[in-house]
Amino acid sequence: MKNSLRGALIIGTATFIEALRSRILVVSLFFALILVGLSVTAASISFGEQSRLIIDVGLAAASALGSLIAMSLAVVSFASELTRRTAYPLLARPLPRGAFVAGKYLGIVAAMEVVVVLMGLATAVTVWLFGDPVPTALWGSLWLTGIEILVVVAVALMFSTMTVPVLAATYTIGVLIVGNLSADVLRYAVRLEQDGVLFGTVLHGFYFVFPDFEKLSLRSQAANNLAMPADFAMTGTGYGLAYACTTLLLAIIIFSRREAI
Amino acid sequence: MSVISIKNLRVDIQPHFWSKRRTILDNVCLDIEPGEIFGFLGPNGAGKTTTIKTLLGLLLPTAGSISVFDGAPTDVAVRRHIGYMPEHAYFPEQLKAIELVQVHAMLAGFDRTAAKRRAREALELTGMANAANERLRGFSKGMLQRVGLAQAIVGDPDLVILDEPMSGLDPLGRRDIREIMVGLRERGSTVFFSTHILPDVEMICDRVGIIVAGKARKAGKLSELVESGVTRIEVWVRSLDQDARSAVSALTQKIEERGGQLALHVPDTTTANHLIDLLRQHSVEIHDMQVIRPSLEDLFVKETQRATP
Repeated sequence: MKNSLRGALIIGTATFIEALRSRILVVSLFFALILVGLSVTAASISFGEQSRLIIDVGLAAASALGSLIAMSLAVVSFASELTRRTAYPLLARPLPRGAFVAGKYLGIVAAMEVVVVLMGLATAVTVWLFGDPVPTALWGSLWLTGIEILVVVAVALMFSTMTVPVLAATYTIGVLIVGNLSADVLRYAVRLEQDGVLFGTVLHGFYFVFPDFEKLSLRSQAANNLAMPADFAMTGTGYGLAYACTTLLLAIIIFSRREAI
Repeated sequence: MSVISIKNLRVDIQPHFWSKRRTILDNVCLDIEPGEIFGFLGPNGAGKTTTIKTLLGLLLPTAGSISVFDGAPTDVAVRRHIGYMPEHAYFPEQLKAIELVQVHAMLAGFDRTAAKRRAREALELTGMANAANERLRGFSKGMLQRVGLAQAIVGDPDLVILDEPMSGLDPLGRRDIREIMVGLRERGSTVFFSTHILPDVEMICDRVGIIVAGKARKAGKLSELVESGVTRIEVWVRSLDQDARSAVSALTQKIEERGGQLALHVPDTTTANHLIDLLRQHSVEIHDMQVIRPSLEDLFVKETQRATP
């Protein structure tokens, strides 16, 4: 167990360094900062709504871009390494397969949380420069975006253990899309169930398989400077951690059985 | 106790979900003894890399058994004694050479400080000390090959498995790698390497094994595998007039022009002596003579042709 943890930390540190030096990260961060800059321009012509627009765009960028960057890094760092066989010398070391997956996960997540914090800080500083107070809900929203990243990386890694990079990315994007519509799917499923339609029950079952990203979003509260519901962040954190851990465990099980053809 | 023991190994693989399962290795038997350099030869697609992957637990046997240091290759404890260099030395591009090798040293069990020191030593041994702090992205194939060898030996392993270590190296590089491999043997490590560069094998291997089309054809010491005797004798002259050419044609298997000179091929020493007498009678000056003995290449070609329908 101690050996596995040590191995995971070694892999995690190396992955973190690779991710921070990656062009994907640098270009995406640059793009995100441009978005915030553009929002400032738009804000200058929106009377009295500057902060709202900046926070809206900034948090949306942190979430959407953050998810896409996280997915790209996970696919490049894992699926591509298996396809190009750069992972084989590592897999030949006295390192359990599970430790390798966990290490990759830790490294990518650590790099992405740095990105999310930077994007969040850029947004907060911009709001402050406009002379408006930085709402508390912004920090809560950033926290939940960080939890969202944990889920996205776990999902991307799980698909990366099973298939080639292109398909892993495609499936992950599919899950992201469904995850952002999950709450609507649930409402529709409940209505169908109330009407006695069997498909409603099936749909309700699907709801539990896909992540519900609405449970991890406080963007509206932050943009409108509303109070942050006390238990929302806690519930969301618990939900996100449980989903991420389950998905990561699945990834470890799948990868432990995979042959390096 | 053999370091590696392979008995009746069969490996079938299914590359993709929609593809058929096919047999890559069939009834392979091999034993590698401690402290030897073993050359694993085979043409492209013979199954050398598949054998190596099975030794490392990256692939599982379909049938038969394989043990490394008396344990299963999938056992994490067994892999503690192994250093591995893949066939294509691709590594994470964003890492520096020293960082990559240090990671491998730490995974081999060394603490951070010792790992850094050992990484520097390994890079120095493989001639990459000057590029230690450069990112792998800018490295040539030969440089990556050397870094690959450095990460394989950094943990001071008892068994070093190298998949085509000479690939992509110039003659000086190949000489350096051979010297490293001999040095590993002198330190008590066992070296198992796959290749199809036969002169390297002849220079340093204690034993060789030949695999063709997934089947092990031969294994043993070079002196036992390669037939003794003479394949042919080449008698070199600068030129032959028409009379001399007609006179010697009955004795020679072939007259070959090379570099402005003529090589007369005869099958054995008796025929060579008759040829020399004949050439003297025709006042032809003999420039050089070469005795060509059976080589590993002859054995390799013979085994490959036997296996190919």
